[in-house]
Amino acid sequence: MSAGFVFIGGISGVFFGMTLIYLSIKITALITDRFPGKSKETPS
Amino acid sequence: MIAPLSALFKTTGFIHLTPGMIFMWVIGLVLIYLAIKKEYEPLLLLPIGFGILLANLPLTGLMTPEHGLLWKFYEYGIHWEIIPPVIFLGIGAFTDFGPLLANPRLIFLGAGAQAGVYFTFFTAHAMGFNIMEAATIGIIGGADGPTTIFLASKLAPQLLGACAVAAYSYMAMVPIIQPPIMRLMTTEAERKIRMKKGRKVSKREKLLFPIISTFLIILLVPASAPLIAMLMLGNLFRESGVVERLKNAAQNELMNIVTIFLGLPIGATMNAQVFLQPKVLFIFALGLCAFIVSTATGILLAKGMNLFSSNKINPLLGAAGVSAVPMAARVVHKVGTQADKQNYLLMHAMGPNVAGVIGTVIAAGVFVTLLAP
Repeated sequence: MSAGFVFIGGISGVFFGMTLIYLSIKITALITDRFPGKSKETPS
Repeated sequence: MIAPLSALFKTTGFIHLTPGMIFMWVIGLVLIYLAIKKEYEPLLLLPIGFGILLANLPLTGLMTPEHGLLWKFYEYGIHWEIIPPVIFLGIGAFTDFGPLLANPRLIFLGAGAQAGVYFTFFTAHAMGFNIMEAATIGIIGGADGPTTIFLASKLAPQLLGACAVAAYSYMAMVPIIQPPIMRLMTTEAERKIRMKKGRKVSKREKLLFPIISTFLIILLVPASAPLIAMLMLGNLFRESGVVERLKNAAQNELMNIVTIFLGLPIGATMNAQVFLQPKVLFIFALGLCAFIVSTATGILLAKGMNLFSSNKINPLLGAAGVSAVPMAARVVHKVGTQADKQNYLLMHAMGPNVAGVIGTVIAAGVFVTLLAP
């Protein structure tokens, strides 16, 4: 495994992972806003 | 009469002392001094310092494989990868992901700060460290002690002590290392940028976050499972509100117990033969470099994001992308208030700060995936 591959693969992996989490947060927020249920809102 | 006395004397440790051992005592005592007097990460540096003293006392057998007490702590706690994940359980129980959920784009600052990890990895490899050692040194830039220990135990156990001490030392020195870089890389006007108040986060979102992110991260980087699973389980304890006892145990008793069993064997790995090598100095230098680059890249990313957004981010928040929770966020707040006393950045900085923890775990998981034997 070359260092260059690990370098590129690592940075891409971290950003890809964070993008997935970002999208999941956005989608979760969208769904919970649309279907608020009875849960209380808490200040961030 | 003299012969038995001489034989008796030979069973003591005195004649087996070496200058290297005595030098390591000094290092151990310095760490104990820093922990007690300066309160630099005392929970870890104190047992590590004492472990160094023990490891450099001759004939104790404390680190003898199979039999030594500290060897057993090391083998079953660290080498078996039990203690770092348990510490992550406690961290999860402490962590409020609310600021991140309120302003999710700040998660990218936690990713940006990992650039220092990879820059240092590349530099260390270019300097002659093998690829697994280079990865272990690079992860110091993530400013996350348990993750550094987790990765070192998997990829380069021979560097565990040096990397752990470097990581915890630099984490303790975040208030000294980061502010000059932050001032150098931002203008007064940028430091005065006020962040808009984050949206309100529902309890349901806070409950769903640990479950969804566990799935996503583990599916993407399965090697990160031990750390991320425990982090998110601890957070679920916290957010569920129905297991107060488990949350309290994870935050307090369990965390305190494993901290003792983490610090002592780490210190005990640092015997004179292993530690007193030129490459240890390089590890400390590269660890510092990793910290500096991580801070700088986090700030640069925040500035870059501002180019494409009308809702400006205070670039100081990028510095909180290194983990070091919550110290890095406090430093951001302090530097921000020096420019504008009314600028309250602490809660905003907690977003990238906790994102940095996740980012470092992913970075470590990628290293393990690509490099573990």
